[in-house]
Amino acid sequence: MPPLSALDWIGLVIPFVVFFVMLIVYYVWEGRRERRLREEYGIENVE
Amino acid sequence: MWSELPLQTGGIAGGAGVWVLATFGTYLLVLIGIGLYASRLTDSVGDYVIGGRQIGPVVTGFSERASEMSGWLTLGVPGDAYNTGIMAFYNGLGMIPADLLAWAGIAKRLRKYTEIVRAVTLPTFFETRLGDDSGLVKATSAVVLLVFEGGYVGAQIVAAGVLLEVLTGVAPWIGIVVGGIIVVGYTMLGGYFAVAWSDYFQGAIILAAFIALPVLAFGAYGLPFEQIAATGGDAMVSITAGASGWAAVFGIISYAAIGLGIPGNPHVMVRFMGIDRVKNIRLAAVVAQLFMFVAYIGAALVGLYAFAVFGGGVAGDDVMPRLTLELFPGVIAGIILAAALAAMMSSADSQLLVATSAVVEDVYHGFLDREATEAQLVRYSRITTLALGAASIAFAFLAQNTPVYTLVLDYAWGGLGAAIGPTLIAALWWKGVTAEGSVTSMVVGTTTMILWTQLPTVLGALGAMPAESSAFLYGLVTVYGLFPAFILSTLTLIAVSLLTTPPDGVDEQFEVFDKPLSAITSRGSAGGTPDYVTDGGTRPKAVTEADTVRAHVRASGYWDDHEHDDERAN
Repeated sequence: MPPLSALDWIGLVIPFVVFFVMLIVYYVWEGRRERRLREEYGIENVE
Repeated sequence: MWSELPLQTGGIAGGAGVWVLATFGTYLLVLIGIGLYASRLTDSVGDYVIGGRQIGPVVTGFSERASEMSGWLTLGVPGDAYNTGIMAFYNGLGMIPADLLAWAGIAKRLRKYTEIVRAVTLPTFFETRLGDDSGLVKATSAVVLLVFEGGYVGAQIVAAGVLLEVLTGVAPWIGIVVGGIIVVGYTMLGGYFAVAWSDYFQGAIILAAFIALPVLAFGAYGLPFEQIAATGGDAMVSITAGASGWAAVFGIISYAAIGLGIPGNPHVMVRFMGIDRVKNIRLAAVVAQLFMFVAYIGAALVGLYAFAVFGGGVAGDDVMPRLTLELFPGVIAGIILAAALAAMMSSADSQLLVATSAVVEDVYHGFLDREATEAQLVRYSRITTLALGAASIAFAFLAQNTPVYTLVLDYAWGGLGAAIGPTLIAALWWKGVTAEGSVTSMVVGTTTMILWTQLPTVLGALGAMPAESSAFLYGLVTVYGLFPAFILSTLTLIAVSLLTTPPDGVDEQFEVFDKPLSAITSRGSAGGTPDYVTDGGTRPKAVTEADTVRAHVRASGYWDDHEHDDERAN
């Protein structure tokens, strides 16, 4: 029997995959929000 | 290997040859030289005060995370993995998403708001935001910072002592006293200069080590899990450390709850305040998050490989330096361990400065003597640093047998998280929060954190400790104290705030959050500064960690972005 059961592997890998997806979602979502703000306020460089 | 040359030392690792000690010593001498050089340049408080916020996204992202690259992540997490097994990967379970939420929900708001009210410390930010004239919020948060940042310094000193012990074989107490004197002396000398440098470059060295160590170990030994299961039993390769039912639930909660500490820890929050431009926060967040993935997985793997290589019986804190000595040639091992010690020193340095500024700026200058001169404040800062440093060494001496991992979580990270975190989140997101709510929440958070940590000991002495067979009660009593402390602190904050009246003008202040900074600062007269700006009521500012980081980055010329500053100054 392998030392790590399938359940252990799932418990190990799934959280990190979810966190990585969250990071991508944040990056895209925040980029869109910044673009909307730039357009709304007519500013080239959102500070 | 270099370490197989003659002239071995008496280090308990046995492999710490002369080359290790030579590179280790050289590295530290260079650091002290930088400290001495910096002390000649920094004669007044004004020297440390930097108006511009000009740290770029990569350095911000790195240093936000590298501020944890101190004793906890370098020695503590590998030690936890060595003792617990694969469940130690769950050290990232709360930390990684909580950090992302902090970047998404706190960073921009805090950065914009603190620039507009010109706050450089969290106590001053709270005072301004909550419209507290009594000074109670500032004083309470300053005391919380003083106590728990002091605990942090103590933990770094214990970690420094462990490294010196592994390398040279000296008794632990000698390691602690010498490590403590180095840390305090470094801060007194003007180690300010080295803060960002340490956090960034030393963080990078250790991060590289946390990638290289598992890779080298994999090359030498393959996957460690089979060996771990054979030596340590099935619990070591179980994601719940062999527990089931309530014990497993509370085990996972304890790991996840570590993340609750992020918003309350000032050395993390000042990174948000110090970034150069709000728009760079998005990139900095990605850097910080990727850093975390690598660091947490790497640190846990280091502990697991150490178990596979050494078997049981090694003190948890010792495993990272011992595996480094085992797998790397002497010169590289010396550099990595010197970088680790230097990172601890720089973290302790920043934490000592946060505590010092809480005493000198927030309490002495804010309350006792508003007319104090710069020279007086610098003198008092040095005296306070010395006194706090001595207290931290004494704490480290008393706590030397507690693992660094527990020491940081229980006596520093958790206390700050429970006391400061709920107020910080509420100040940025909830218009209804009041000064009274904030103060009671800080008191409840601090008290719960301290008492919960001691609960098993107290109940044990009274003979009232729940048996391990009653899994729920036992799990509740032994759960990581930050979990109950954060919940109680938050509930208190909400309840008391609802019963009291929030300050006027909050609506106007909250407009800041939804607009680009330039849309706010460009309106109105007097440079567009809104009327609620108080500048904390006192000038000049004493040393804060944000200042030191900015001071260093400016001094290093790393981000050659002075045109941007000139524009801002105009």
